[in-house]
Amino acid sequence: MKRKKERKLIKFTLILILFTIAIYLSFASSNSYSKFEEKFKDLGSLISRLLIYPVGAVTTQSPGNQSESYIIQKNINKSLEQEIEELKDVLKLNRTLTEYDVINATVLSRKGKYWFNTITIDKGRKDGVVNGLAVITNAGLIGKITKVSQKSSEVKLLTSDDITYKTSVVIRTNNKDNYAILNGYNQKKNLLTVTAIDKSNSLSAGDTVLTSGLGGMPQGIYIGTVVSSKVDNYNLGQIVYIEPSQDYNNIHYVTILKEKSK
Amino acid sequence: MKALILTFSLLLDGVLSLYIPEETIFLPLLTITALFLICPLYSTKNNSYILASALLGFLYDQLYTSQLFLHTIIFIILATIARIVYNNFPQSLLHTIIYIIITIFIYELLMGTLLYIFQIVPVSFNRINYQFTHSLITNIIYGIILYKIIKLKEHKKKHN
Repeated sequence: MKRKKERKLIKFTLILILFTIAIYLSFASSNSYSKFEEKFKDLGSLISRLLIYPVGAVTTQSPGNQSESYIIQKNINKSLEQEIEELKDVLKLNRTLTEYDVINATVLSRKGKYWFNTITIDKGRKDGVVNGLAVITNAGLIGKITKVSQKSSEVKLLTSDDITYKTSVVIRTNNKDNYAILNGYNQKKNLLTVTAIDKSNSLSAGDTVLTSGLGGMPQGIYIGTVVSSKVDNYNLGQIVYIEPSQDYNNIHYVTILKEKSK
Repeated sequence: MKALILTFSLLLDGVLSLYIPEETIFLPLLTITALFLICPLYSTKNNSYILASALLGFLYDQLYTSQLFLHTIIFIILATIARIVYNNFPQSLLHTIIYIIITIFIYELLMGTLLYIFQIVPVSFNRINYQFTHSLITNIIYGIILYKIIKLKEHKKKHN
């Protein structure tokens, strides 16, 4: 009887250890796919593609609308383009949106969005997607590529609460640019939060928030507008609340920005 | 039949998640509801139900979450609970609804606890509660439909 109890205890302990290792492996592999995972992920993306095809056909938003609005954004007046070129030369800027190739993609799944805030898209390594690329919609930046397999990729949204996920932004006021870090999302208020701004900087509602161009992101992509700000708990800086330009519940088509030289 | 229910629920879950906004009270967790309800269709003499739940969890991770074994483990735990419930507690439509509610709560609690332990995202009870309360309606309706289908199948089996 005692021996049976001991055996049960050993079995239970072994299962517990095995479960812990498996969960640790799951979370530890959050930066890239293993070859093993990639095979399943590609098969999964194929199934998802087949599934969403008929559903996608009846939804109102079409990829045409998305491309069209992107073209509107891209088709800048000739003279403005010349002006940008001149400014680029003067300021020695080497990374503007015009230097990026665009890859249009369809969202395949967004299960577990509440905890992980990720979406899976139908473009992968074979289409030229690599980790860290900016992902936008016609409303502005929505996130960046965090995992790539051969035929699909995972996009971590700006609304992610992941402790390690931060984006360098600039808040453009009337008189200067304030560099800051976008590092979270307030679920209750439905607003993005930006920190690391000196408390002496005066910001007002309606100020524009753009990507700063630091940390591998293209410069000047629209994120949203300032709603309010308050001094942080340590009385050192400000916490700024940003109204995102994108409705994160309604993302079906996205555009990936890829540096031309990559 | 079992495989068909699980596959259909898994795929429908993914499609619905893509189109149902997060703020609504209709968040789907159809795979978990189906996993719980098909328990009586498996034999209690072997571990085929636990193995099926592990496979389902693995597929769920590969299709939707990109976490290697997270749902494999969670689904095994849920399947073990389902087996205990079906072996020891009464079965009726009302009981099944209560069990579905408990299963969804355990799932959300497990997810929250694991994410909290491994410090992946900030976890609060409010977030767990939000996810739990917003998932009930769709899953209870789906659970009732599946319950009726399974009972019908069991009834036919008895008469054959």
